[in-house]
Amino acid sequence: MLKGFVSRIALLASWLGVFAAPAHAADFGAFNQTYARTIVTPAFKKVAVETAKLAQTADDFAGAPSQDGFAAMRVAFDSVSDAWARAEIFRNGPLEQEQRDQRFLYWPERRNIVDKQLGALLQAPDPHQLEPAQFAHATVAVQGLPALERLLYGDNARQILSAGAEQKARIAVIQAITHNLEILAREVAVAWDKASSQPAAFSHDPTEAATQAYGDILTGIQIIADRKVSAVLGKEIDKARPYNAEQYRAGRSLQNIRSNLDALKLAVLGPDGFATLLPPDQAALKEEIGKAFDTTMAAAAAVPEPLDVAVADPAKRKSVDTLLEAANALRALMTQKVPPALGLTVGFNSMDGDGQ
Amino acid sequence: MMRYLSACNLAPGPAGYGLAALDAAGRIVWRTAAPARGHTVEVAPDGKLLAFIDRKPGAAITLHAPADGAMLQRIAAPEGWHFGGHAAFSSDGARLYATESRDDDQTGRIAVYRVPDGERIAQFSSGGIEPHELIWAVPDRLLAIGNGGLVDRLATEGEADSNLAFVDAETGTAQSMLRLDEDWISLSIRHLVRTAEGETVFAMQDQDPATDWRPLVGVVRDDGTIEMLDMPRGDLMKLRGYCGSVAIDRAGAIVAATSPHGGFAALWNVPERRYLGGVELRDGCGIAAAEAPGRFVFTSGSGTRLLIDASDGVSSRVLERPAEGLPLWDNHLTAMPQ
Repeated sequence: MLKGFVSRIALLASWLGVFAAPAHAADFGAFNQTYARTIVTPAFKKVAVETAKLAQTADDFAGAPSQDGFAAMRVAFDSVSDAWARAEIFRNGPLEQEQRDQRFLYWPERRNIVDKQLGALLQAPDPHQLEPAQFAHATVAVQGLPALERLLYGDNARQILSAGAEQKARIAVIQAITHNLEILAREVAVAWDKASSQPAAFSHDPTEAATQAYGDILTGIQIIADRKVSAVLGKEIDKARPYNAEQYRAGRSLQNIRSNLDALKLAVLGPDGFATLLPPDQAALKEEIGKAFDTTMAAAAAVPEPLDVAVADPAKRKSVDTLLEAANALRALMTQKVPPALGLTVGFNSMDGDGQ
Repeated sequence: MMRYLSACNLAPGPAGYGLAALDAAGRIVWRTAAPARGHTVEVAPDGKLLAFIDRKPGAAITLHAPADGAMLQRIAAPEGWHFGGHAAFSSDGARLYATESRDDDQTGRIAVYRVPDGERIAQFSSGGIEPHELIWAVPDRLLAIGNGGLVDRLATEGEADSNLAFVDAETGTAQSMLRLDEDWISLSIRHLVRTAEGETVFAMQDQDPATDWRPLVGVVRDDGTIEMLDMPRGDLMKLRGYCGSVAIDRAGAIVAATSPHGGFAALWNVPERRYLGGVELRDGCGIAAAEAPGRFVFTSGSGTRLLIDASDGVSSRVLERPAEGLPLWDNHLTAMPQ
């Protein structure tokens, strides 16, 4: 996955251990606590607040189905998705436990399993199976935002406005999903809140905890480049896969990428982000990181929405190419040049496979 | 005494690729830089030669001296093809069988090289697409080949055209080809190990890890049928749909399958078909038998090494957790009895 961007001089330097040696002794324990308290926990608390609102909106709709109520659920869905895109990058710890990440937003989707499983659920919605304790064990395909997206934006979404068995089933499933999301978000927010008082939450020691948190940043950039952009773009136009775009039914693919980038930038360059660990003589590197983020964010902003349309349009594909290049450049910088300057040694990314 | 060999990063980033040998106490005996990222090291049965196989898509296999890691020979992949990441020596150490795939469509092939001069002497079909690991099902006669079946890892269809092929090493004819049930089309058979009783154990990667909880490790019975190895749901979830390596203990009965994605190693007693338990290690992937039966060394991408003891329950202890995290241990760890 890694490409050879390193010059001969860098090669020699790293060989001699110059890059590997921490440039300064950072207090990772204090950093981790602040990072958890001011960056990660607020991101998940926001998801918890927005999912609670969404669940309330769904309950209100269930009490009195209406066009306005349906529109309100869509608005709440958007707010949850925005909050999620700013929080999902913090994978390490409670989010990856108990498969919460996939339960909240199962993606990329395989073989249209969400349609299949959701269809089956709507055919025979067993009230017992929709209770929170049971629903938490349902297939991830129906537990989270992708199933909800279909119920709000799918071809037959408006059937929920016509009284009958179909309406009842759809409402019951929406309530199950939204309450499930609320529980998931609260669990993660509570776990991170507790972590704020620990110098090495979810880890053996503060250095490892900081390394893992930094690994999340790299994974987040990798997911943007490989899955959210490259897998949609394809090598040529006839290999484009518009249906691979995240949340394309709700028209949110690019918005999610932008929100991811906002959150990543905050985690790196924000007041309590990783760049605070850079020694004073690394001002130029900090500036380079800022530029790499800005270039990627500008490229994401320049893609004519929506992403699934842009990749299939010969004239607009170039803008997506530019985004991919920028994201890969950001990733190379953050993978190779930044960790040694922070005093961190990043291991093989756990997203890594046994080949390309 | 055991020695251990692994592809690694001696320093962070592409500039640090290399391979290293450790003694039983974990001291680095030698380390050698490599121009590309390696995947695994194979040891000739007589212990006189090492093969270092590039990570897929591998440009080369290099042969090294076991004593000091000195490179003796470089075998380049043929034009339009790349190595798959694994190889197997013949029992006399005179031949090396390597998996390779065609660049454009991942058609699989086994390349046979004479070693140590590296001359290509034969090639035949792997019986499938994208072959990854191959081992001897019957020494020198029958190869078991994990045809991973992945053409595009990012394809969201999530389907793998995978099989486990048993191919005659002399004639290149497939004797049998095992495919998984159609419901398990997302599983890619990639890593293999053989038990003392001659059963082939295979570890898989699920291209669709989130939809349900499919088994990831199976055994080929004597009669050629497949049996999946059970494990509790909670531990299966820790594998996160991905096995990166599989190893068998010195007694040839206990198998360990690792997941760097989940930071977990799962262990079974294969003859008894019994799940023993698991061990957590973040980014842990490399695994190899330790000297004593039931024991393994488990390495991580952040330089940690654990000793697992599954001889009576499953326990582990840290052998080393280097402060600076180097070397970073890559995909596979290989044990070399001295």
